[in-house]
Amino acid sequence: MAQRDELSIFVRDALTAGKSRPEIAAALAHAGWRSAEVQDALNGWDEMPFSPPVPRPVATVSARDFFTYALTFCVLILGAFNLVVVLQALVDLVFATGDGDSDRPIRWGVAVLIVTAPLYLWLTLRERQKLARDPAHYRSAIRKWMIYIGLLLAALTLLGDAIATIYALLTGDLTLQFIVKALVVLVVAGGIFGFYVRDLREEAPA
Amino acid sequence: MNKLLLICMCLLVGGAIVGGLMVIGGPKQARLAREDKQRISDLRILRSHLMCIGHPRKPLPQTLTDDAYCPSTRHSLYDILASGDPASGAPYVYRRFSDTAFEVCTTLALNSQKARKAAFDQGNIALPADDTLCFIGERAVSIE
Repeated sequence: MAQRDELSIFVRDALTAGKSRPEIAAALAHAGWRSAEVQDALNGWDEMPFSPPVPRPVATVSARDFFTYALTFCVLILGAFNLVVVLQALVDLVFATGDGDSDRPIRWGVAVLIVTAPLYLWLTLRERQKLARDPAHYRSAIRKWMIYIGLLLAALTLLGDAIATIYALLTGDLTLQFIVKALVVLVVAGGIFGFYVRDLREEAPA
Repeated sequence: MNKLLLICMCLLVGGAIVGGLMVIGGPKQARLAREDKQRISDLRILRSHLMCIGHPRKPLPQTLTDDAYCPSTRHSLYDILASGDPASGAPYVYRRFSDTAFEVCTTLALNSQKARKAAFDQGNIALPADDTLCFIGERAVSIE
């Protein structure tokens, strides 16, 4: 559905009255609308000459989408955090610096992963099937927001990882153990970042 | 490519779960580790009682059940003396070498060297055998 704000209604009425797009843009610019707002309003209607003007599909927002994508990303963040915890604890054990209490984070992390990993996989594969069946779901605004929030968190994690590595280098603490642990963060956060960036690139144009 | 990335992440998660389970062992291993932790905690309390730091000095007691020895820390022993070893219920071994030197010992279910390494007070711990852990103490003061 097209947005029923005043600008959109004006554009629709102008197109119905037979005005050309440059004429409408000039009128709106004269009235003080910014060019991006004008372009957005014009893009809301298909360029094929038809009366009445045909609205283009716009991003959708639904409570169901919010539930699905919020759950997916909460599960992803929880699982990714605990995956890093488990892998780093295992690295500590390999380098024989793990204390006797390293069992506890591993036990908790494994418990979280056993629950979150299959759930995330199921939610993601289910979403892929839904998108393949009906590409209109690509227009979900919630989906886009959640993906960008996930990308932001992954990017911030990668930044923090890079800063910590450089700080360790400058303070002389850059051991092989530290490098491996930083690599664990890089692989997990980088994997999530790469997965969703490709996801955005591969999706059908909205 | 995205599918490949997803498969790689699944393998990483699967590896972390398998590796984690191999390190921590099963539920039985966890229960044994918890019991060992309790044993070490009990021994630490017993040693603290026997050292009786900051109180009028007396010779070490002949048995742990001596109520007259260090009454200020006695209350912390009641549960330990009543329940003993968390698995068998047997009392902890107390050896009195002199009026000032002693050790309290237990038999651990798991690796005693690992347990000693994990302890914050390793200097008070001796490992007379592979499965035995003792807290040792020496009251380097004159006796009343």
